[in-house]
Amino acid sequence: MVTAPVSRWFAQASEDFLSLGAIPPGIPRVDIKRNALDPVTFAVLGGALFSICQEMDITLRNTSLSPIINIGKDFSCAIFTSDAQLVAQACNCPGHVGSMHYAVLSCISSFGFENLNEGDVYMLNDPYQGGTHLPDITLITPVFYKNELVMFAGNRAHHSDVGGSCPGSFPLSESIFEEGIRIPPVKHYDRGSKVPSVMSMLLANVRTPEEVEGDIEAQLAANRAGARGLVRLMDKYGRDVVLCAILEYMDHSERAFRTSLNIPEGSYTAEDWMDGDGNTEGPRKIRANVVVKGSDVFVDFTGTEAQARGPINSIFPTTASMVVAALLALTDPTIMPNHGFYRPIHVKAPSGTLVNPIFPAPAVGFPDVCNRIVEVIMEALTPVIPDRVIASTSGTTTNCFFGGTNPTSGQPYVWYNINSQGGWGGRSDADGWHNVCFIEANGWDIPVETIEYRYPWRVLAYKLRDDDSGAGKFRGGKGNYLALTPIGHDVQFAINGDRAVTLPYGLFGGKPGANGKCTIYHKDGRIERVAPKMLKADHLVVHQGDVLVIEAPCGGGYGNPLERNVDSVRDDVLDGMVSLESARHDYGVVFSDGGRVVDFAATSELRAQMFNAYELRSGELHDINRKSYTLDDDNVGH
Amino acid sequence: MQTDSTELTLLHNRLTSICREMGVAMMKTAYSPVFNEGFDFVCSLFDREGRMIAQAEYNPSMLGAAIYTVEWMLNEIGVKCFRAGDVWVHNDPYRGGCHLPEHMLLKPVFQKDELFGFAATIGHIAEIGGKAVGALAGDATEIYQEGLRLPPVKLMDRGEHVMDIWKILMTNHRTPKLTWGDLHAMLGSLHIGEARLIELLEARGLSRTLDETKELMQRAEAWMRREIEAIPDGEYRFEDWMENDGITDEPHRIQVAVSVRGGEIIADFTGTDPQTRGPINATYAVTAAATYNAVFHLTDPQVPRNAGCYRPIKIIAPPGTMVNVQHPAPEIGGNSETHCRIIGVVMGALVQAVPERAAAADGATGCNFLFGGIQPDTGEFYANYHFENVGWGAAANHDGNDAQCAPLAISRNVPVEVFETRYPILVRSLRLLTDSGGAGLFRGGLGTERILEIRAPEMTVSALFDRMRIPPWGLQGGSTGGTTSISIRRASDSEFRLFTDVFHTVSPSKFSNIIVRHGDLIRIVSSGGGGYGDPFHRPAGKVLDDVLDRYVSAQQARNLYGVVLHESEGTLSFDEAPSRRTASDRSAASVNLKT
Amino acid sequence: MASNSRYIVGIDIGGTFTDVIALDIETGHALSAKTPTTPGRFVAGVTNSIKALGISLHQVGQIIHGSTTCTNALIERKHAKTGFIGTKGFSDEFDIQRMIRRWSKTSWSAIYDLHQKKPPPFVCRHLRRELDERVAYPGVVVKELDLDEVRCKVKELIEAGASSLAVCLLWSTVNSTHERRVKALIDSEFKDVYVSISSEVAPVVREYERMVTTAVNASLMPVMTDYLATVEDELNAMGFRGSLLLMQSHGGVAAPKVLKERPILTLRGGPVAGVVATNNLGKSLGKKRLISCDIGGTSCDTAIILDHAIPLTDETEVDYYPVKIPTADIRCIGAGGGSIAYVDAGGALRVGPESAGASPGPACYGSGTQPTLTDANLVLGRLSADQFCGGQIKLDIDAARSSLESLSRQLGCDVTTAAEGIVRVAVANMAESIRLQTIDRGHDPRDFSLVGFGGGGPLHASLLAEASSIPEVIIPLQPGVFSTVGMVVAELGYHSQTGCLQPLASVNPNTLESRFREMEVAGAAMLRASSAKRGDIRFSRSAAMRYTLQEWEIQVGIDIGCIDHHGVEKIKAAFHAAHRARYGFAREDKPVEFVTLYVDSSVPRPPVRHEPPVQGDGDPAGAQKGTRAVYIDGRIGFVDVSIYDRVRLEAEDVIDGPCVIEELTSTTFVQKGWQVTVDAMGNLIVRSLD
Repeated sequence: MVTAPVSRWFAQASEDFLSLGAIPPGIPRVDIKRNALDPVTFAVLGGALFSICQEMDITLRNTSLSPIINIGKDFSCAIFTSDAQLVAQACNCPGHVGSMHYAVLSCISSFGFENLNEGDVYMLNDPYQGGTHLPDITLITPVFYKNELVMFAGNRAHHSDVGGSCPGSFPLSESIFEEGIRIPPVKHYDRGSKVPSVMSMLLANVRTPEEVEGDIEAQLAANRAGARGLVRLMDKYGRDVVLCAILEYMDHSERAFRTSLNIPEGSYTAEDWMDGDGNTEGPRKIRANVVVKGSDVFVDFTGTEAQARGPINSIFPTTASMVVAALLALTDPTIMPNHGFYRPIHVKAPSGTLVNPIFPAPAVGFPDVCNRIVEVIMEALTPVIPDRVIASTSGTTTNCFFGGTNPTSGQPYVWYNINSQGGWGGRSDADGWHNVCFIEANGWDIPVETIEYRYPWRVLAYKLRDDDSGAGKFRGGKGNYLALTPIGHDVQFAINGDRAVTLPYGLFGGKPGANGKCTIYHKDGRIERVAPKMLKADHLVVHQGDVLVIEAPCGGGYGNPLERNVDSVRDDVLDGMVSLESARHDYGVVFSDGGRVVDFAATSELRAQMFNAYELRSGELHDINRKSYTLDDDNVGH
Repeated sequence: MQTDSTELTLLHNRLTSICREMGVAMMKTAYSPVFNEGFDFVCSLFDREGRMIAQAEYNPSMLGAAIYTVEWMLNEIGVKCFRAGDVWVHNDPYRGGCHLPEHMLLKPVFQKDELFGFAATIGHIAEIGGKAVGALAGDATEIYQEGLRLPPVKLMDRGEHVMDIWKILMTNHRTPKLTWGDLHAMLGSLHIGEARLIELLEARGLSRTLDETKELMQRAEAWMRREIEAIPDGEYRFEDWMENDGITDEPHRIQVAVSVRGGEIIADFTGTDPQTRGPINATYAVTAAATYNAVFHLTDPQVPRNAGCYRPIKIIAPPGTMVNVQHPAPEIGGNSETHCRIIGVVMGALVQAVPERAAAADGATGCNFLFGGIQPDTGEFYANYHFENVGWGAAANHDGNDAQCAPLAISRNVPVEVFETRYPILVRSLRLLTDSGGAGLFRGGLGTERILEIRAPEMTVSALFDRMRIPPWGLQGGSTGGTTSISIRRASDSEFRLFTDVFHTVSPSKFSNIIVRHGDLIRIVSSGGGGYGDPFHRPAGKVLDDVLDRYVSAQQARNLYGVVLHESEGTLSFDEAPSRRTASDRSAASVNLKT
Repeated sequence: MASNSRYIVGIDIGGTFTDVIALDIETGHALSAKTPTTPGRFVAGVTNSIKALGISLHQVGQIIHGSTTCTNALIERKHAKTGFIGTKGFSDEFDIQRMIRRWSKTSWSAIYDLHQKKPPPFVCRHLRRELDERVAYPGVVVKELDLDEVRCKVKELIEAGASSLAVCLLWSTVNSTHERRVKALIDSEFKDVYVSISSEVAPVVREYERMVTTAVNASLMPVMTDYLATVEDELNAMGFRGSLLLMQSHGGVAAPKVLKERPILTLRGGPVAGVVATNNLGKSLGKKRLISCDIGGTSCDTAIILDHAIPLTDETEVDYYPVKIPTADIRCIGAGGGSIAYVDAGGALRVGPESAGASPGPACYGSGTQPTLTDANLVLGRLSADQFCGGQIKLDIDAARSSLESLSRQLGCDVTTAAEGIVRVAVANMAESIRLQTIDRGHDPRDFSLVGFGGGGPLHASLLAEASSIPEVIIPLQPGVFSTVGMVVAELGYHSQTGCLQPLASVNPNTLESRFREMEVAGAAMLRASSAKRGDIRFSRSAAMRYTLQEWEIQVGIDIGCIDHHGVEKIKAAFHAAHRARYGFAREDKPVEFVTLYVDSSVPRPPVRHEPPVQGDGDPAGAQKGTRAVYIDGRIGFVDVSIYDRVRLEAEDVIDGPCVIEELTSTTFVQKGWQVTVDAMGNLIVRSLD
């Protein structure tokens, strides 16, 4: 039996709305005796399936070797039905998980379902064949029960390097061929025995073979744990009961989504921009039209800019997974995401655009596009669910990659820095967080002591930015300020960030957050502002003695700063989160006694004046405040 | 043992013709021009201990390296692991290979169940992924940027395709169809080699053949030693420069001390500059191949080309230098550019011992020009690895050949008509470049000028040239040959300008991934050969002919040859400039090897 | 021991009840009682409960208790105002909190939840100061410490109102000189502030966790000091001449003077007692594989005990604040008598983690309205309305029923089915928790015995065992106050750790040996401070290890006497084995490294003698006190089962399930298909019949 290659699906989504819950034709479905389940067994199995994923997660995290995986947690674990429907996922990266079933599909279609054997493990990373971007290597293991393929266990992890034109495999590429080794669906294990040539070939093409080999070993262990868990479950409850529960469980998530969607019917549209594509500067538009019909949601990206020459393209699966993430975030995040949950969600993404690029467009920079997709959907829905949306978050992971040779060990290394995260936008009920990755990913930061133990670098500062930005009734969170210097060697450096020109917007009178920056303070005193108009660069060299400073964008504010509780403003000033000037100009709070005590009289007077001023242009209070600004010189080089 | 030498000669010829047949099969079935027109491949046979027993006269640079590649593969794989019907593929420069595009396919040959040896081919796969279309990125800084790297892996397992490996190759090369075609051409030729070899073994018997091939190698070795003994003992030094590495615009020195001791030659490259950040580094195999190459040019071409003839030649190349690069430095230009230069310095050293065999420097660059893009109609990638012919150096007794493939290879150029049918390019002109041959008693060969017009909305081009500033040296008062150049005339411009001016590349001769557009013209000039002897001693009649044939311009005839031409009634005649008489006084001054 | 101090008293102060036990070390007889907690007035609680026991304070030689003072102070943020001093450029890590989002209602919703609340920084920004000093790995001083700077930063903090100071400098784990000099300065010049330095409190790599642990300890020092001061004074005032000891998180007890410096060691002092008690029971029964299961009002605490050792972890958190000290590895889930049942948006039945707590409490307590696990058990007849807590609380069964009605409507079933559903879901959650600790760590639950105690343990133990395929359940004597037994039997102990980030290959065996020795000396000093005799002290060594490049460690026991080169090889082998056991594979050919070294110093207690119950004839009839309609399962429904009075049961008595056994502090429900035997010590041994 043959099923169409996944690319066929991406093309379909271009023509018309594709229900993300749809199952491609041609995949045999295991036959299940549907018998009614009592709510209890159902609840029990639900928990069990989730904890199987968690066990995969722990195994992968604890046994892997590169910090991006074992601390940054840039990986995902999930289990799937035999026809490639998501059953459950661990708490990992939405960007990975929502898209991983396409990897399963791709394995099925390229090998043919009947050729999948017990003991096989499949590997792939090609975005155009079920992957996301090349650094994410996916391992899929078919799970057999009593000689029958009943499910799949899969995980996907971001490797420290997969070759390509710069260390960390995050180049400002113009085609996917520059981004590293592409792995179509191949067998890593064939009926229980390892396929040596595939591995040796992969390792010959990456800069960090030791890490990659160990991390793939860990990925294997995770899938093994998943398969073990599923078999155990079926031993205990019986194949049919488990498989039934899974189907029930999808219906359950679908029901849960439909009941808690609770967005008025209508059509809502928004646009936002990426700062350049890494290849050329200038904004790149992402446009989303969200239509809510009953409890179905239709997201249409028509009007989004053509695919970029640079690497900021998000292939359809990652685009789809971010639509899922956005809607989950805006309805009830406690719903267990699975394929049933996808059913009410329909996506249309024209081929050849940023959100559904065509081979061989470069794709390594997709994460920031993903973040922007979520924001665009939130922006569109802002008027109707003002308390559920939040102001703009940095919207970038400000990925930095360092490649060099450790002067003491003589070993080449690649360090993927993920500590430079931005601030989150203010919310209807709370300030935004500082230095947290936006929704596309979710990992720990790498402790300074771990960085210095593993890499020949010294960290000079790992703290919050001190810019005044994102003022609001609820403040935007602060971006991170990271200062580094290489020890005893020169380093190849690439950065892939955003929000360098377009500002993280504020909502309902909240002020926008500060832009992202990257600066090299050369030892000769020269100050080099890296890619000030798009924050994307590669093949830079940081020399011994230079200091590199990365400042991640800050979140936008939510609500009129003048409505911010005065005590909070005082605490902010005490804590150095808000300067005295900003307290006065943005929040209308006046201090006496050198900034220790609030002068309430003066404050209420000032606030009254400022309010009136606001009233005059009250429009501003009620819509998105995206005061995008052009870079002025005094902005360069601090 | 005693073997009848006619028998041996027959065996040698038979083995060699098997290799030739393999080559013909490859040429006829391959897809990409660099194979079927460019001949950028080799075919050879090895015994079961990995010693080369025969080869055909294809790309010599690969031939030299092949002995190292095979040795490595046998060590890594283990000779016991070969099964009939297996084919292994390998291209890793850091595992005994020459450079990434050159893929070796190795097939074990069994008679009954006993392993006799191997049929091997190396082919230059035009597109292997990596940073730049066509792989030869002039500004690569690590091997990871240069294309898909293959440690020895099985392409065929007992006659079955290893699909996973094929899939990975097909996904990582920009032009998978060509890769597929070329690899199958190589498989085909291996099949023929295997079949013929088995026939031969059936006829002669395996162990006898093994003995005889050993004898052949001994004879080849003995012969080569005699050749070397004919060269006066001594140590001869020479050095030359690569003008830049594509990353920083400064020259890098290659130095050699060749010592001839009786029947042995030792080429010691100690003193050569450290390996560069850019891609002009040579692996040990490349350096060795180039050295053999040089020696073969100065010895009797009749010496049978098998493992034996390499034995008397030893190479010392310090690790970490340009001539023995260490992982993970880039190396892709090492086999196209540096290779020529290494041949040059070794010859430059040796000819001091045998002036009568000396020739001035040849163009010594591949003028590698890479271009590719997406076919508007099919949406598929096309990519081409294009190289130019160069002028050869004049020798003690004849002019240098014009427009001939640099000595590292013996490739043919790709006919314009083939070129234009395959790529959205129009060749505006291809001609010999007047005055590009170094002046001398014997004139250096001429380089060429080719002008290409881009006929696609856009195209990605890369270049890996050398000899753009440092011209090929002349000998005995002969002057230097013409330099290379690559320049562009944008559709909007009126004149040709260097890529450094138009695209701000670091190096004018080495760069990658430049986007050119419809209507742009690209001008590629290849270098000419150096001259031999004082130009003033060149018979004026010959100079006149050269002028008539436009090999030499009237000005150069006057300025360099001291021959003044004037026209009367449509015919040319000449005077000898007064200075010609005092030429001998000056000749010492222009014994000019390098700038 | 003089007879005027024959009792060791253990006191466990819970939210609603204070449990107390007095062990007569001459007879081995144990008295126990449950009295209402007297919030904030510990000594009153002690005296009340000792009265309840009918003994007098001067007969008491030792009072041991698991204080929740620090835990509560932390949860209610009622600890001291604490200032922090760190290396320049890094103190904002208090706000960054390791970056990851994990503060949502459920673990899986954390990645999507836009409105989850990140906890505030443990030390707020205006109480943090930075020193322009720097040490780099492996201990090189890059920038010297400037004591004048220290002086003025400390002044600033004190002026800002800090009464405790925490000092955590980068890489103090490999070179602690700077930290120690800062402490020396503060001790000599600012006598009235408390100070903790990370190299003493938690010398483990990874700065954020170390920063917080140190700050938490500092913030608790005044709390603990004041608390102990009052307690000691008042006890003395009342003529108490014995010694006061407190439980520590890892299950040992320690004297006040140790804990004033390290209050953080008491954080898990409450729950750990039950594990100690279980371990002690295991020793006396000679059972090497036990699961302790303490089900109270709000939570179910489970722990795995192998080979008579209390399992430890150093990945503990209190309110998301990491506490990097070795702590009993107790898995706590929100499933207890008070856990609230509800139907989620998708129509699925859920129980917990929210709890009705002590107030309003379960619907059947009278004030609450939401259905809880206790209500379900009452409706199913497994609890008696008037025997709850020895009759101290009357349960209102109608309230319970009506609370279940709306739920059953949503589920489309009758009240009984809903009630049974609640119990099964709760039990399933508990079973899941046990599975994660057993099967997923390579232990087969069929090799284990489940020890059920706490108010709800005996009620659910046999159901839980069934759900987790555990063949045997043990209900100890006085299960309701079982934890206090843990206190009276807990060993005097101290747990020391030290960072040792170093590849195993480059470790010099002698250095390693001497580092362990140093820790043993330190441990011994601590124990002597708690009045231990040198000779009685036992040491056990272990190390947190990993493969080079890994980030997460496995703790490996080191039991090889003096470490030589050969010993190092053994350690390596032990690590490979542990890794294989946990993750299913090992990398024998890859380098291994140490991260942290541990030494556990302890003083074994003289064994506790038990007073055996009356030898019986196997017939429990004498203990039967009637019958009641109890719900068995969906198939059988309600049947009349016998109710027994536990105190009247005799050794060797055998009872077939289903049955209910009631006693002062708890109720045991034995499911159909299970059989109870009373063993020689009076424990109920419940075994599955199939």
